[in-house]
Amino acid sequence: MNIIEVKNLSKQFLNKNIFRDFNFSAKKGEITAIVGPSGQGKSTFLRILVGLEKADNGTIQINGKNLLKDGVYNNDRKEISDIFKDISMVFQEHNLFFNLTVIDNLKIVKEDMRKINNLLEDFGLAGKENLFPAELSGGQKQRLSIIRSLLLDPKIILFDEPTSSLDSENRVKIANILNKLKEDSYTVVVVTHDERLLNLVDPIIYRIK
Amino acid sequence: MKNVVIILISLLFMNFNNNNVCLAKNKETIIIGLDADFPPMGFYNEKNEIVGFDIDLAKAVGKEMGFKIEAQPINWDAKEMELKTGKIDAIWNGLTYSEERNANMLLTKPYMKTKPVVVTKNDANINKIEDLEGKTVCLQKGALAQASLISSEVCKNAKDIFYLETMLDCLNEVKLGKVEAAVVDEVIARYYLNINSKENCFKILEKNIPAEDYVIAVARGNEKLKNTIEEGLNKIVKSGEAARISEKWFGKNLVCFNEEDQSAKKITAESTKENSDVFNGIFSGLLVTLKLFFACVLFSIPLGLLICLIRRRNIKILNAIIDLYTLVIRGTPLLLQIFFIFYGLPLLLPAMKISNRFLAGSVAFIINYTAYFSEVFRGGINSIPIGQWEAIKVLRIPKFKAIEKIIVPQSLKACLPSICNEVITLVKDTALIFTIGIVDLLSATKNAVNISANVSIYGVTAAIYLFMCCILNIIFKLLEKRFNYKS
Repeated sequence: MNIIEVKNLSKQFLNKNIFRDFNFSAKKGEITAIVGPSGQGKSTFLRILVGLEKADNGTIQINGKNLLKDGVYNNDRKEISDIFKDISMVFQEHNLFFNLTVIDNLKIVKEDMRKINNLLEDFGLAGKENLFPAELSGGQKQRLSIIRSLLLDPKIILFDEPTSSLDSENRVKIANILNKLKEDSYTVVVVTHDERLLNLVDPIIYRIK
Repeated sequence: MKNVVIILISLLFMNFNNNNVCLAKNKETIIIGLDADFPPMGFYNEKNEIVGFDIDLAKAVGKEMGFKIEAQPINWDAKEMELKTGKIDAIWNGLTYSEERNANMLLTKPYMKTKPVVVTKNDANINKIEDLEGKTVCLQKGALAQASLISSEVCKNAKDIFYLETMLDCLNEVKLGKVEAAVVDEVIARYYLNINSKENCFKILEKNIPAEDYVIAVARGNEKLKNTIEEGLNKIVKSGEAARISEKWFGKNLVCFNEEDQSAKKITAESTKENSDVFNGIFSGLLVTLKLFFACVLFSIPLGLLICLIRRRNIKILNAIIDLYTLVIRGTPLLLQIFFIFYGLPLLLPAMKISNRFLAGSVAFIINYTAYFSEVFRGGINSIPIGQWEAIKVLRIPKFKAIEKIIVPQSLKACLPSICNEVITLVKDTALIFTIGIVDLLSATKNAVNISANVSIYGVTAAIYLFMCCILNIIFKLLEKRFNYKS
């Protein structure tokens, strides 16, 4: 069953088509990658899925519920809230709360100390609890950002260029995380132009030209 | 360190403490200091010219003796200082004789008689002075009524006594019902009863208070000017010019120069005020200043933040109202807003009457500073990167939690220097509350300087203000450290 089903999606910006009649689907327990040169609206597509931007036309179905149907947005608040509960996103720029320490960045999302500590342990961030984001390395920031998204128990996780500023060692770490998420039957969508990452995770690939 | 600062500042002011008595000796123009809100002695007419009985009298004397008269409005409260420092040559404006004044200034022989009277509203249930028990009364700051009545039973029984800048202010407060009675000079009361007999809303309470003399004051030591004025007065009394001027203003001749010579009265000792009295006054003024400061900070900072957050909701009509509010508040003087809240608002909306002066003043300050703080916060919030808002949305962080833990701390870091600026400005702005009859630190200082004629008190007050600002500086430095995370 396709947990994300997108049909004929169109988005214009300043009267220019960013994408037109875009079709896309993603399955549970799979990694789906969207690849292509920058400026083709890959990030915009992810932002539409989490509700940060609005599409102009098309249909978006998530977990069987319509977010957008033939260009009309669902206005049932309860249903919208359920849809977004299932979906989370890891930003390219991390967008960590820079005034909060590592632990507070997580506690503000969900105050579940057992889960937080387990995730910090799993992702190699134990002992960094009281540092500020600015004191972390790029790879550590990326992992903190992933933990933050996982805290809310989403079914779908979107990654926007997860390796854009990382070295090859960290790329492997991220690839391992993606594979682990796949094993744990998350639906993973990755926007990237990093071919080496694609080789490490073996995803279903959508190419945008 | 603090002591050194106080001494330095005191020395700075000390230089001006010498009596500059040589003024006006060879001058062709005599500068006359007056409270320009004292009809009919000296006041602004519709054309914004200073006119009045005393002005006409002074001009007549000048014409006789060959000098020109320039009328200079002064703060009545600081008249002794004006004279002492040579800013003016004479005080000629219904100045009543007192021993204290005789000790501080050189006074001419009296030229008129007056007495303080109590003025109430026509319909007030006050018919004799004893009825003032438990009522609110206002007086002019530094006017003689203060000295002669404050010790009398009248003011002892009054519930509250306020000191305002001018007698006209006092009458206005009675008219607006802000106070139940005012003590003013008989001349101003009579003038108003006669001029506005149609819409007159006042009545005068008769009481056998001994009449007082109007005199003209010059700086001590300036005998020459005193003699010139007296000689001129003598001439115009004899020529009938004085009587003519008096009839013009009062309908009858009230000038009584030469009737009685009071210059033989003993000059009493200099200031009788104890230093401790002076400093008690300053201390209670300081408390008022601090109270106003904290009231304003505690309310206007959260309110400013609230308005800024409402604005972010982008509700068209609310934003238009907020825009108008900030435009009006930032585009008009704070002083005008204080007057409006205390005097104007009750006339427009009787339900909005705030009869407590301090409360009305605080409300005006809070409304004013809220506008500034809301703009400061707007700048701070705008400085938060868009990614932070997006993370808050995608991670579904509850609104209040996000504001408390992310938005406010992040914008505070960005706007702490501006907040510090506003707060320090506020420390000094508090002095404006004196205009509605509240004695704050600065106006207590002015009173103290006037009474003790000791200018170094200014230095002490300057040091107090500086000290307060230093403490605020330290607090804000600590706060900045507290928010000193890398971003």
